[in-house]
Amino acid sequence: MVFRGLKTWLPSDVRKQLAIKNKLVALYEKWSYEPIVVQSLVDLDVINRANKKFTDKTFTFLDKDGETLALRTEMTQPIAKAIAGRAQELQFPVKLYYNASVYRYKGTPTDESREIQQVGIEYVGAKAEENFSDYEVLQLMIDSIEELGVSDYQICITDAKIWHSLFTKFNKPVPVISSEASSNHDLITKAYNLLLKGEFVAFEKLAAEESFLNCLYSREQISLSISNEEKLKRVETDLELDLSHLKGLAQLSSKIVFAPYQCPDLKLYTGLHFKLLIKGQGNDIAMGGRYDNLYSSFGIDLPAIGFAFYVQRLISALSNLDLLDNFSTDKLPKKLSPATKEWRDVYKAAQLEFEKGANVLICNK
Amino acid sequence: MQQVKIALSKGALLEGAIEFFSKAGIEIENGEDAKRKLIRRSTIHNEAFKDYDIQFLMVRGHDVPVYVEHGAADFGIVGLDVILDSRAKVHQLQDLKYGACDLCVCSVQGKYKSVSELPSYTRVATTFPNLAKDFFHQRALEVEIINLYGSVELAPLTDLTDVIIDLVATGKTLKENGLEPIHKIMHCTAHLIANPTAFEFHKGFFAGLVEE
Repeated sequence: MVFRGLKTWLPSDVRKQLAIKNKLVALYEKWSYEPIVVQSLVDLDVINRANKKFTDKTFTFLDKDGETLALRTEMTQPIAKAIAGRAQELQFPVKLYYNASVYRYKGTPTDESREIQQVGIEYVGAKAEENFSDYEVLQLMIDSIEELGVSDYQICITDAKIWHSLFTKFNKPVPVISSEASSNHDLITKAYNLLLKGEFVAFEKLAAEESFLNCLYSREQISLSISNEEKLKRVETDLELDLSHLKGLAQLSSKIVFAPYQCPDLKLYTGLHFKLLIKGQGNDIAMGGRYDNLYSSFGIDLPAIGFAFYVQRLISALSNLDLLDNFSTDKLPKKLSPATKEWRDVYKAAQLEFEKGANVLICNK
Repeated sequence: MQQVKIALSKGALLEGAIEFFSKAGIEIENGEDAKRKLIRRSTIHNEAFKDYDIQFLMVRGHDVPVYVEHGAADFGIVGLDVILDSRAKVHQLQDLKYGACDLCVCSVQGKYKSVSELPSYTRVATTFPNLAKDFFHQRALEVEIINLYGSVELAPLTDLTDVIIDLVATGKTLKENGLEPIHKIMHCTAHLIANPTAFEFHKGFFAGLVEE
């Protein structure tokens, strides 16, 4: 049986994939990020304790001793657990990168992915404005995609504070909502769909007795073509928020668009949240943000920010943009047809070719 | 020239979609030859869209959210019932307020007066399995959902199921087959939807449509 959402990669594709990943990794190394490998199988509690949003998408197993194990659904949680457990030995901030697969099953008609390859970074132990950590991470997202030759992209940024403030304003509990929520029924998706039209809430004009949803419906229209600066000003005024940090980040590149309607997973994200979009691609290629409360669920108070590239989506985007062949590293091997039966002689001949930089394929005459 | 692909439902909502785009100054090719085409071209009569090459993909209603979610189409027009049932991650941009109908629980005339009269383990035929599941789940009713792809009205007539969940516009088809609605689940109209990524790159196009 062939399961959908899993893919076998043949050599020429693997070479391209490795070349892409190596480019990203080399970039992260330049900024002093260090590699980390964590286990694929984790205690289900690691996934649940940090965030229950993936619980229904998690592959679980009953271990021989009765423990419930799970395949990791993302890298952030197992890394957080590993770092929290060894915090005494580490000097913070800790900067890490990874190149690994995560496993989820959504099982919707349009998304049956099971194994998702990710390359990403984690910057642990610096608050948003310490060491320019938010700037560095967002800049790395920009440099990563430009390093791969993509120019027609957009990075949508927002701040989880906007949504937290919105719910506080209406005295509503912050709903448990996943950024991958697919249901259009729930309140937040309705709000999201309204806000994305550029219709911001004019809070001061609303009667207190109006329902939350009605409030979101009764708003003034704001042109979709207004600048980042103007949009940020409107949200700051409406929600009485200080978004000066986000304003600074929005100026990093002309490719950054302030997207107040972008709703992050509010149980995880606490600050900056961003998505990388490439024109012509149906899904975001990379996503990240700040999650300053995650580590406290593992017993230590450490701020953190990170992002991950979805490698399969990235490869599909590079292919659609005709950029994938730039990563072709296929090298035809030098064929050696030995006249001798002595392995030692064959090996010597091969060594000579290696010195010339060739690859060798031993074959019969 | 920017290319925009819009998925349209081939069924009852098509004429309304053609009219919607016509009002916006986008004329979808609609001659006899065009009717067999799966991709239809358009003629632009509105300066706001002069830089766009707009193509229309003709697909089954249930496939519209699929094309849009995957990004094979940037925008789509389809009924709210199909959008909600698909669970697709798409932006619902605008209620186009045409193609109005109700999603109803229907039974053989006189057999049940309301949902509360339905027996335990009711069998339900529908082309909207997720909406049906949600509806009965909210009422803590245990049902067996049978997913059909058309002629749902036949199911209670042949004892395949006790009731159906289907769209009711005038009620004429139901009546002709001895069925009647016993509960309205929701009101549905045609909606404009967008792929979230495509929307970010084509906000100008959407703004042009809304202004019209």
